[in-house]
Amino acid sequence: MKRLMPLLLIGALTAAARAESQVPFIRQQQQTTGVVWDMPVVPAGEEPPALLVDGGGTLFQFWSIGQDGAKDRLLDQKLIGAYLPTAGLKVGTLDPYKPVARTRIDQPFTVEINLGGLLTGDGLPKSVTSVVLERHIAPFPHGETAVDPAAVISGIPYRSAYISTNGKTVLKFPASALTAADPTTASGVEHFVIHAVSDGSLTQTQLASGFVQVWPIASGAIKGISNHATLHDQIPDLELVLTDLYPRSDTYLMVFEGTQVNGVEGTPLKSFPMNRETCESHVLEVTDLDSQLPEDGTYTLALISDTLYGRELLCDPVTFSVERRPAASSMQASLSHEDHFYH
Amino acid sequence: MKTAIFLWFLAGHALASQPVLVRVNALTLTNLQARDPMINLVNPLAGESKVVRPAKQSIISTSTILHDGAQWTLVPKDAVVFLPPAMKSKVNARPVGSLMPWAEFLTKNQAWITTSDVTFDQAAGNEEIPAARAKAWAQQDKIVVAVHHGGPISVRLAESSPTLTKR
Repeated sequence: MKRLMPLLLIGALTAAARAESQVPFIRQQQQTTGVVWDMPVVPAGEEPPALLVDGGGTLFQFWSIGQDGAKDRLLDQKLIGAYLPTAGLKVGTLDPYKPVARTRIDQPFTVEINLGGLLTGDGLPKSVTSVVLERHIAPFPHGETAVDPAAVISGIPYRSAYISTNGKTVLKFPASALTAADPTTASGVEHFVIHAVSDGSLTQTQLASGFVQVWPIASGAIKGISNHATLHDQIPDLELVLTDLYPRSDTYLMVFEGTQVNGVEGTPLKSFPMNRETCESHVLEVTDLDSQLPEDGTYTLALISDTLYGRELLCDPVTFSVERRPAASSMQASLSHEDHFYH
Repeated sequence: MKTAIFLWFLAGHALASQPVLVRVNALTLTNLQARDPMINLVNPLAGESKVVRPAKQSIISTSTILHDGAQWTLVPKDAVVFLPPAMKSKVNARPVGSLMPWAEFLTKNQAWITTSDVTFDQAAGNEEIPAARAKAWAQQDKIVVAVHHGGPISVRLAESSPTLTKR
């Protein structure tokens, strides 16, 4: 037997488990003896006590129990053993947000795997030469922004593969595999799990895991004015439909003189900055457009969202022309003047 | 007011300096998704890789519940090594009230819970718990929970520990 410091699960103290409504438990189960020990959960920064890890493997589980209804959730688990491969897994994204990794459905991310203890040689069983990497995907249930992680990784994986190389392996994924009727609107989680290949003696095989939140590409609509319209009277009030805005984003209704949105300077008419934990949808009203565009001419309205992925249109821009009629009083004055002139 | 106008000007200026990209469409995304790097790795054949996934586990169902009527906590099954008959109502009832971490619950309920330190070998049943200690448990009216480094631990009784009263 050897002693190891159980630092592996301390990093799993997620915001969810730190919330006052949740109580965290770290449970260790030695596979050969069946001994179960609840490790004291220490505040961040303090060193946890040493644990005994035997050759048959010791399972570390990180649980969170909710105060409401005593509902327990397995947030993470790892199997560590003197004769088992060691594994670490980290998901990297372009978004620096913490404490969880998050990305957008169309954006690249990496899975960095660090393995040790794998053997090489002809005729050796898979259990000592390889581990299995599993990719599990799960959409958020309708109207929700979370999925029970244990439920996700207990199912059949979306994809699985052997990895037989000690050291660091980095897999570069160009986009999430989540899908929907329109895949750009898909959201959910992707979990990556490294399993030991069991020779039949292990009751659990999970060595390491990591996950990433996936959010959809925002979209939008400009309602109240149609493309290529010519307006002779007041510019109408508008309704802006903002759908699935990225958790950290700044969204604008911009107006550009002319028909282009690139290469010309635009003016923001309405803004909607957002910095939250989940994506959100909103509807905004624009009621003062007429006063902000006093000059006749051709304009283009665009719904634009700034994220760390760039500046993007949420929908097709709307181009319209303003050709105001003279006001009734000025028309009368003009006619009166013309009468006098001609008679 | 001047500051607001200045910031608005800066925002407008910044907005003018970046290209505006068209929203990614479904076809482009589908093409990106097809470039999955795991396709190029060796994939297990059906039923070849024997992995055990953590399905349908519950820490509550594999624990002993202790409660004082207002709060409750849980310890591993077989961590309660002595249970006086008068204390049976405080064990394994339906959890009601607020959940407390073990250490806090113990501090609050020292009047009827005590602990006994055991080694890992004693917990595994490889080493006997001294009979004198087990006798001492029975001479008090408190629930005794086995602990290791301050955390509750299940105890598998060694063959020759007849004096222990199992729950």
